[in-house]
Amino acid sequence: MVKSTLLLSLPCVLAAVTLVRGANPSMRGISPEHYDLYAPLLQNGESTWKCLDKSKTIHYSAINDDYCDCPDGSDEPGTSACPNSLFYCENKDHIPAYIKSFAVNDGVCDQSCCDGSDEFNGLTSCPNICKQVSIEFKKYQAELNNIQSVGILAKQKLLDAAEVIAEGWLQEKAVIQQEIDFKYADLDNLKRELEILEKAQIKHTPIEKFDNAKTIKQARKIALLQRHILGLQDDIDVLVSILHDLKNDHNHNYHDMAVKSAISGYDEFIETYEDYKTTIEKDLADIEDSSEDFITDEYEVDEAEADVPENSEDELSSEDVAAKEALESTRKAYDDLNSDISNQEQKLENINEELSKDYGHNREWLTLKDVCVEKNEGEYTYSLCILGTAYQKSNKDSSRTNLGRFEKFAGTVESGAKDRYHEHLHSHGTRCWNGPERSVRAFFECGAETEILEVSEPEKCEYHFRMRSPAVCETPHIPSEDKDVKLAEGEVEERLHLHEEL
Amino acid sequence: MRLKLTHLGRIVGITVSLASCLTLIKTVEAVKKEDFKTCSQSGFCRRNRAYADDALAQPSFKSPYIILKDSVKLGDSKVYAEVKNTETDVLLTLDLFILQDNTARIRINEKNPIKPRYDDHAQFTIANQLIDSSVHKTSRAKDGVITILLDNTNKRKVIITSEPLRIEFIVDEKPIVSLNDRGFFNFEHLRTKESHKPKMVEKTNDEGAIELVEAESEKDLWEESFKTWTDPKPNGPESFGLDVSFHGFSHVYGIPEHSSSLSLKETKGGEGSYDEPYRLYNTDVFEYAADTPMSLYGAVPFMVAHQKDMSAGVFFMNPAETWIDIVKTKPEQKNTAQKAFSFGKKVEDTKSTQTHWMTEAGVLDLFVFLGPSTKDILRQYHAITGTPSMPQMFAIGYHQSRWNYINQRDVLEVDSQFDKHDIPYDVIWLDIEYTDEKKYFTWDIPKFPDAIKMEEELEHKGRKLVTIIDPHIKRDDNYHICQTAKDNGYFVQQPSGGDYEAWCWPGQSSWVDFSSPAAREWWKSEFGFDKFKGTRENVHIWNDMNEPSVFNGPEITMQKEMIHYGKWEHRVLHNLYSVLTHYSTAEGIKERTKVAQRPFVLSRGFYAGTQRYGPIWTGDNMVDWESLYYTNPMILSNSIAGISFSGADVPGFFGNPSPELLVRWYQAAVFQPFFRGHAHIDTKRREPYLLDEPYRSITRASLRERYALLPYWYTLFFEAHKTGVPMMRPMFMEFPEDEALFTTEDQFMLGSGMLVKPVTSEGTFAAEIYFPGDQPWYDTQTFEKIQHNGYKTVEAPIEKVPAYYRGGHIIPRRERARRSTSGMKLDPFTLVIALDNKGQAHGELYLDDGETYDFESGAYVRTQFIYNNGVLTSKNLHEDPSSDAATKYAASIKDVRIERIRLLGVEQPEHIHVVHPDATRTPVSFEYSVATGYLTIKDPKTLVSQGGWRIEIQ
Repeated sequence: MVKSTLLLSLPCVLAAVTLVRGANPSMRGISPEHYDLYAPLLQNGESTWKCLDKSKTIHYSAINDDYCDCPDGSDEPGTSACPNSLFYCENKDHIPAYIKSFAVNDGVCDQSCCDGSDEFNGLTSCPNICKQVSIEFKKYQAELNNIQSVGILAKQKLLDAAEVIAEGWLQEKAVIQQEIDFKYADLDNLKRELEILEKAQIKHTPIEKFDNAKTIKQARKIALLQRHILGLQDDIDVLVSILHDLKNDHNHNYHDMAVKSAISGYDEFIETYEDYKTTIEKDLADIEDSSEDFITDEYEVDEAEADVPENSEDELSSEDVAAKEALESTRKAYDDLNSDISNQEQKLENINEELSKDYGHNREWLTLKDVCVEKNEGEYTYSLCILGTAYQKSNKDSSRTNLGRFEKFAGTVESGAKDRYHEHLHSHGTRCWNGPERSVRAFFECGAETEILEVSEPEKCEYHFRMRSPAVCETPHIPSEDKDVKLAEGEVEERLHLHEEL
Repeated sequence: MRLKLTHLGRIVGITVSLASCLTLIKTVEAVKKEDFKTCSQSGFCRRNRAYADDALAQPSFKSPYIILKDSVKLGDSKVYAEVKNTETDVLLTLDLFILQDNTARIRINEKNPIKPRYDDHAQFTIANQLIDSSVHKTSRAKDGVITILLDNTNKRKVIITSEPLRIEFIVDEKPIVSLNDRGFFNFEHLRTKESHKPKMVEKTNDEGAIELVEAESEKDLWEESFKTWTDPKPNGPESFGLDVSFHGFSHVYGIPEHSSSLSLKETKGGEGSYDEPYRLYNTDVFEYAADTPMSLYGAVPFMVAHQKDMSAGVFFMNPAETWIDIVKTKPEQKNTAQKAFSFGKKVEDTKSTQTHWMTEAGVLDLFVFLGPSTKDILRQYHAITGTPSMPQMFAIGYHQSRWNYINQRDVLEVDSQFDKHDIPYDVIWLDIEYTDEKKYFTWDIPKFPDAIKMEEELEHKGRKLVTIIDPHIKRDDNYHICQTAKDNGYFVQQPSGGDYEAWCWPGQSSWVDFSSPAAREWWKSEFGFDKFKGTRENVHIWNDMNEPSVFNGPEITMQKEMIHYGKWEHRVLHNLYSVLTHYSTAEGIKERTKVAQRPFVLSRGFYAGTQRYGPIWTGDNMVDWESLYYTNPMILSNSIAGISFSGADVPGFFGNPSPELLVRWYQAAVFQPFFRGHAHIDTKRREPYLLDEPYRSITRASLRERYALLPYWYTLFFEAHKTGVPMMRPMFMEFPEDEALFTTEDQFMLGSGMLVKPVTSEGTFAAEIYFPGDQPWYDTQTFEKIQHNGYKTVEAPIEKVPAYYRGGHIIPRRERARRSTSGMKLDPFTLVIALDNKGQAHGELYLDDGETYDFESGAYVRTQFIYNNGVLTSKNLHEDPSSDAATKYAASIKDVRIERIRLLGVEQPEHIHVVHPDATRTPVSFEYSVATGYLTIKDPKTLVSQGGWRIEIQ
């Protein structure tokens, strides 16, 4: 587990420090950089010192005397006396680090303090393992670098491919735009033609009666459906009463998941059912009201049906037919072109949408879209399609559960992500019994391939996928040259910032 | 750090609406009372209650039990007599033993039962050799009245009256406790169904004629049904009942476990009373309700009565199902002068409390303790049942649990998050999901591929792992535990033969018969590191479901007719099952290492004697304010019944807490003995580091306060181990004279030196506290002095739990922030000296290696600190300070010093000097706050393992 412990220690590691060997051995736990902050002040012939927050002046000998004098803990950098101080480990042969005061003299050899300088009260003795740690760290670093460089190459491919796609879109966009422009010109011509034909056409086809017969036919169907609905409703009511009894009479101490699932499903259903039922009843009543105008009973419907003419076209003259055909074909051409244009416009809109869609900093996720990866975790195989849907498939039977569709890039500083693209949220999966809709948080780290490393379910129906993908690889950040000692821990930064002010 | 008012308003608003939602849900999900019997559904309870009602209804009623005068034998500190039931002519034996320290034992059994009645439980419950009293004098008057003096002074005596049988305990010529005072004593003798003559009563039938019918009491004698279950009862009726009256006592306490008030309520109806007796029958009650006498997971048939200058206790030693009715008599008239005198205080009129104990089977075996104080009674009770074991130091730190941490990585991630957020904890827990299909002693390997490595990583930081092991065993031919138990007959049997099988977590299961010596030995051995693979020294155990919980059994437990070792029915030992599980597991943990480590085993079920094996918790409580409130009376009730190491799931098991509820619950648990965060599988994660500010910092501060108080806690655990006096104490235990405190259950004492009143209601930022006594109290956070007697309202913003040091006491603390207890071993101490009105104080510090049993042979430090006339000195209380063990241990902590002294309630000093053992005198620096009268002495460098120093404050 060297790797993981090293990882843990990383936040505490200083990026770059020039080491100046301190002359004063009582400066335990202080970085040589800050020795000057611990210089004595002469006051009435006595050596004194001011807490770094300037709240108090103490005797110089009270520094590191294993008693906490300063509210900010600055007088005890080398002991555990103050709850809020930091201990500096020189870690010669490795990288210097700060550890929290609770870890000083607590009997634990902290990995981040590999020189063992934090344990000196005899509770335990820690050997200096910095050389070893350094070797392992470098090895680990090299491995990381390797993953990263391979990953960066892979990412470059993704970016190249994405660029090609985007370029394709742009070209397609230009082509379509041009086509649309041409087609609008054609449409104008057709429109004029149509207007002429329509003026010539004055005769109307009597179809009211026919329409009426059609309505009657539909009304019959509606009546039939009404009966079906009422029948189904009775069936549902029976089922509801069965479930109601199950809910009230079951023994909850059996912890039978199937029963629990049924009950929670019932609770959910019944919540909306009454409203739904009322809506259906109301709708049925509305239909009855409006249909009363033309149907009073089935007999009448049959009567009306008998009156429907078998072939109404027989009544038209041949001239009329020709004119009608011309009109219809022009109208069809016009309509076809119109729909063609709107199709093209839709395409254009889609392309624009794709172009404006968030696929990452440089569309690095675009090429991976709908690329699906799987991970067998014993009982289940988990799959996730990038920007698509995640599933849990049983390895015992063929059942498959939807864990959620991609909703958004969701990385935040709090969740430990570098940027929002490092975390994908898939949501609105199948609802759990007694729980929420399933969802997946996929956390990405840099890797040569897109893959699922591990799946966990820290809370019911909330899955965490630890994943790798070249899409999140970044060229390593070169440490800045500024004198500020940058530390990952916010608290540490704050303290040192305070020091800088002095 | 107080929240702005606007914030508070908002938080309150939100949580109020949340709470109302929760209540709604609760009414849907809460306990199904109909799954558990009422007294009238339990044949023997109904019969005995009816017997009592008949006795009360007939003015001429006279108990049919009489002592046969010729049978009486007066021995050394004991009395033997035969008792005859004049209605049935059945003979009983009565044994009365006078034991040392104001204790008496009374046993009543059948003289010639057709077969033995169950009595074997005593070997598990009685921990110590019972020692007869050396002071006794028995005499017998002409009228047959036997008098036994309990001491030389004629102050305490027992009087036995023959016709009818009546036993009375007298102190200063006043009756204190009496048995069969009301004639409810009823002892059902064993009989065969064939020989049984049903009791017939006259009844007017429909035609107006009188005919003989079977009496109501004949019902359910030979078979009884509850819901879909039928109890075949092959032994027929075998119960007994007895009334125990506490004269002049308005309040009785104890008989846990119930989600009820500290001062027990009346049980026969009326306002503020229950309609049902308190029940002792270990059961797994799903989402149990508050304020009911229904039985829960544990049962201790031990009751304490207290009045102003006197306490008494009874221990009804029997592990079968027991019901207890409680009624109180009308108050005796107090004279007006007395009333006027106590103006301004809540004074109660004196009543007497009458109890009626009804037990299903076995032998009547009763201990009476005469105190006189409640602390004396606890010493007397623990002399019988054994004192609480001394826990390891880690056991009293903070435990982090959840159903479930899902895998190895999850465990280590949670572990590192605590460090990342500077929140201390000692133990992480694994609930049932870590096993392979709920087969205990196995691991779900895909989730925990290398448990040992995980445990080593925890060990590296001095932390522990607790895994769950339950007593139900999955029926599975490929499961070695099941196979071994099956092959060797270690499972509980069916009456017809064959293993008992029923449902629990793994599905079809059988239950290990822990009453079998061979099964116990086997079970212990299964904890060996070579057997229970994937465990090492820092792994400890949790026994859940050991009531036992049986999902498809009557009342979610085992059918009473099932058969244990020795052919005893489950009926006769039900409540003992949990303690046998607990014992066997704890012994297994103790025996698995070469040098025995004190085991840590948490149990849910419990009975008298459980205190010897480890802590218990109050089971599956709800996440709501009411449940938070009830943690205090429940733990106090446990404490007064000897189960002193107990706690509740923080912040409740079922449901998701508001941040306010979570913070308040953690604040309360700082001062409760067992402190574990736990959660149901359907809840959101709620580890303290997940909270938003300011709640996270407030919770961190609570946990740090717990760790700072560990030296005081540990010293109190040692006191409990020595004397049985609990760490968490009802107010009346420390202030036995103040009647205003006799029902107080929402504030309590931690040891004798601290008073705590946790805030247990929503949106409440002030607390009304009763400050007893005439000595000052000091706020533990501001050190402000409170010189007040009676109720006072104090501010309690969200970051504050009202807690006070008691004037006259010295509290040892360790104030360095650490990640767990293991890092604190060599940390220096802070002494808080809370001065009384005379400027005096004293206190104690107990310290040992916190792990092994070496303290039993003297490897410990026990120091008394005394502050008097401006001088702090220490006194070595070690029994044998020059012994090898003592000096060796002292050497191991030789540099551990007192780094700070906080003196509360003191005038500003001019100089402070330390006089070292070699008589050198050095000045020490100090700071003084004029506003609060609070003095900090900086680093006197005095050592805790070395006496002979003094600190002079001039």
